[in-house]
Amino acid sequence: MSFTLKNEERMAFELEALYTFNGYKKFKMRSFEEYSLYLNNRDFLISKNVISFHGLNGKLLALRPDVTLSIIKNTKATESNTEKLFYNEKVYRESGQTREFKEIAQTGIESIGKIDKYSYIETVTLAIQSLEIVNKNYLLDLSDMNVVTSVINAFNVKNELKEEIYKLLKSKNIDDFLKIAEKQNLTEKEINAFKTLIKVTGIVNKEDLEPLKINDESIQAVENFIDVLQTLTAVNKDKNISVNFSITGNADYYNGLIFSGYVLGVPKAVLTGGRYDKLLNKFGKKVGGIGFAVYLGEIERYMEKEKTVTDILLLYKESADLIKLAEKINEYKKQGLSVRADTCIPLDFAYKTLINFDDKGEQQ
Amino acid sequence: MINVALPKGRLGEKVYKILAESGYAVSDMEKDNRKLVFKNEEVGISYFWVKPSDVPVYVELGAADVGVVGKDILLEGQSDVYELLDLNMGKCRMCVAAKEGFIDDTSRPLRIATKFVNIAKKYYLSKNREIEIIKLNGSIELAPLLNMSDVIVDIVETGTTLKENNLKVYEEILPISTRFIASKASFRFKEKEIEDLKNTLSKVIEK
Repeated sequence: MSFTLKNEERMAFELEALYTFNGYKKFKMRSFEEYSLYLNNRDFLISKNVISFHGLNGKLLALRPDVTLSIIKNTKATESNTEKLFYNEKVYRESGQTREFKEIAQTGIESIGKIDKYSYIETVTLAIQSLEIVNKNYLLDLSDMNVVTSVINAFNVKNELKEEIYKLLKSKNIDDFLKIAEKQNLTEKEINAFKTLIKVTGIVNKEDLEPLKINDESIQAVENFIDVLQTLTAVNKDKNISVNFSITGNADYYNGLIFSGYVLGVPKAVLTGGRYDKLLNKFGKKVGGIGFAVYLGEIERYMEKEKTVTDILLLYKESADLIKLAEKINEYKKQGLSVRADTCIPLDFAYKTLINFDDKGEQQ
Repeated sequence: MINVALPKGRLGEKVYKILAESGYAVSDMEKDNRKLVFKNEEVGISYFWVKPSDVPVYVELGAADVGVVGKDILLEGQSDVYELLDLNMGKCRMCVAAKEGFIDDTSRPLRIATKFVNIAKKYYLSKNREIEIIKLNGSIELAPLLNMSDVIVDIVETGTTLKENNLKVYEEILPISTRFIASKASFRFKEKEIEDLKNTLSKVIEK
């Protein structure tokens, strides 16, 4: 039997090596954070419910649902001292349809401090390399919060309706948008801009994004995005980078580039990230930040399970000569075989060969 | 291979017929057998029949790449899927209904019987009305008749059921119709196949 690492563990090691090789330092979380950290930033969390309990000093603590918030809270990064950290932690979140709490393995990187164009290149390249470690069949979708919000904000409608419109973008629901557009008398230019946001998926040329330029703000946002996109695709030739404005990002936390990574066989994004200066500013940190998380725990569920099979199940009677039994077991182990000794066949236990051991010599 | 979750019943059969007539047929669908999954390897499509309210689950978890489901189920389940096309079928309305002559007493919480808890909550949150939800799974019309609730939030088609029970539509929440949905991940890996299916359905609906 070969003792191969479980897929999830192998991936975690390879990702850790990748980030270390790129100069990122490991961040190890405290066991528990104060509940208030998550309560005050609920909208940033993937799921709103957090496991909380009272610590010995009476404070309300939490089992972490996230690592980024802890990194941000503790960061001493400045414009002249960028912190580049990676983590590999278990987080505790609701998972699955029945919304039970589960322990989920999560790995990620954060780059906090001065964020320039190279930061985008480095982070996105690491995201691609992370996806390649998970599965060779991957793709990375890019979007930009400034592009999306500048287009939607241009519509002359109430804020609640803008939120509704943003939801329609996230679900690529063009039909319901057209009904709103008709009711709200949106212009043809505005309608085309939104249609473009929904339809543009995959590799784009800058001409494809022209309909998004409906006012000064969106012109600037689109040109910045195109500039970043062109650099990223030039640096990452033949890599599966594409554009998809429907990927999710909370406008209260993310500004600029956001991205989601998918691998074949897993129905949800396995990697999400982006530029989150706004979140840092909420914590009073006057620095920029960009990073991503890889949801190893979610991936594991969809990977082919390697069945652990023991070579030999050795059944012995209570009256057996225990010294001879132990010698026999050692003999097998010296041959590199894995052995389980028991008095009867256990349930749910896979083995290759069954051997009955008695004092006269074992029978197969 | 593109996997399609079809809702058991009239709507699912209607959608299958459209797809079958456009080249996406499977050979043994018409036979009355116990098969659960129907495939056409040449065309690269497979179908399976599921309970209508389960369609988004199959799509969200990737067991189906696409599916057909009512907007009411999507809104209630808050499913994380792409909603690519309004099929303009199964049209009805999500309404608040009550006994003939009902007047809302705003000094007390409004008691609402419904299958659509999330839809009802969201609607009344937008009106700042305090409510008490009674979750039922069927025959919702019974609740106000037995004074178990003040109103119901339910789907209304022709309105015949309401009329027969001396109930009437008090408010309309939103129109409902059947939607063509896709898994967010499948949409990226099987974009062409999914777009082709969508366009096929779209052309027929437009006619």
